[in-house]
Amino acid sequence: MELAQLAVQAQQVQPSFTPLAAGLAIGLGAIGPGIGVGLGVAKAMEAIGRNPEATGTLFLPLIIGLAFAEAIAIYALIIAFLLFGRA
Amino acid sequence: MEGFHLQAPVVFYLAGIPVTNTILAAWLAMAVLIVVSLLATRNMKLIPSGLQNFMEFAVEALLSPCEQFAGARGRSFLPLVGTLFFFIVTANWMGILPLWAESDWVHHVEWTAEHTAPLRSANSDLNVTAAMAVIVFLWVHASFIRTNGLWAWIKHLTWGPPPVLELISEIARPVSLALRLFGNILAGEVLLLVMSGLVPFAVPALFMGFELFVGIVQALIFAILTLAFLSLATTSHGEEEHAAAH
Repeated sequence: MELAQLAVQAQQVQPSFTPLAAGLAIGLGAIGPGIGVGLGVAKAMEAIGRNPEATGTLFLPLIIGLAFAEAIAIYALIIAFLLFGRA
Repeated sequence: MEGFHLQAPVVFYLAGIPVTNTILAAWLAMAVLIVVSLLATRNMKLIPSGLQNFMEFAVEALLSPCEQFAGARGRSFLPLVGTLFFFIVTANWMGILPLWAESDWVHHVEWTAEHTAPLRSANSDLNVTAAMAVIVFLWVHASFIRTNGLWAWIKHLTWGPPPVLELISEIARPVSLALRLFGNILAGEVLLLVMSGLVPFAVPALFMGFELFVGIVQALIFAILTLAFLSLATTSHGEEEHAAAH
């Protein structure tokens, strides 16, 4: 019977966790960098609030620091891309 | 986003060697840089104007952190640091243009070996970024050996305990350099493709603007990190400097 055949086929299909893995990779991987970037910018805002003239001095180190924190999230994104491209 | 591959597709074969669309984009970036350099140094005047003036400004803007980080030696780092910066910026900024997109609905060219787009942002290929990272790695370690000698290099790599710690740290640097640039530009490429697919009018321009920013920041990061590694490697090693680096 058609239904029985379908049931047998459904049992033989192995569920793939790769899409879940890809989602978790980037989802969990972005937590740390998100906090890091937030902390960095918060401290920069505080410094600018205390001393508005320091904005020029602060800008470049802030951007460089943010790029470092962002890089960690990018590593997680690469893993997600790799998984996404597979099964 | 059909037609976009993580691994860059081959466009044609040059004497048996596959040439991918990212390599073509890298060659184009090189061509642009060479042409601009030739134009800027034609009829050079002592008091610059026009293109020469702008290029002198750019080179001095790179020379300043070089000498800030490393003092007098910094000038000798400028060729590597400057080239990395200019090449990465040019490649990134050129990759924003729509002609460089790789997607079935943007391009479907039959003459390329794998029937995909003929061009793609050069740094969206891990091979390109890894090549630059490997060059930096070799240059930094060669500079270390030249400054401090072979024995100091071996001692530096086996600093411990555990002895393999420093070696892992040294390997992690080019890996992170390559992956950081690759990931940022790849993500930007995918972002532009997806946004262009969702809202073809006006909105992609915002993301292109963002990619302009990311492109130059990542180029700067790569160059500054190279400068920092070179400066660290070429300091004459005393125990206090070694401790400070950790």
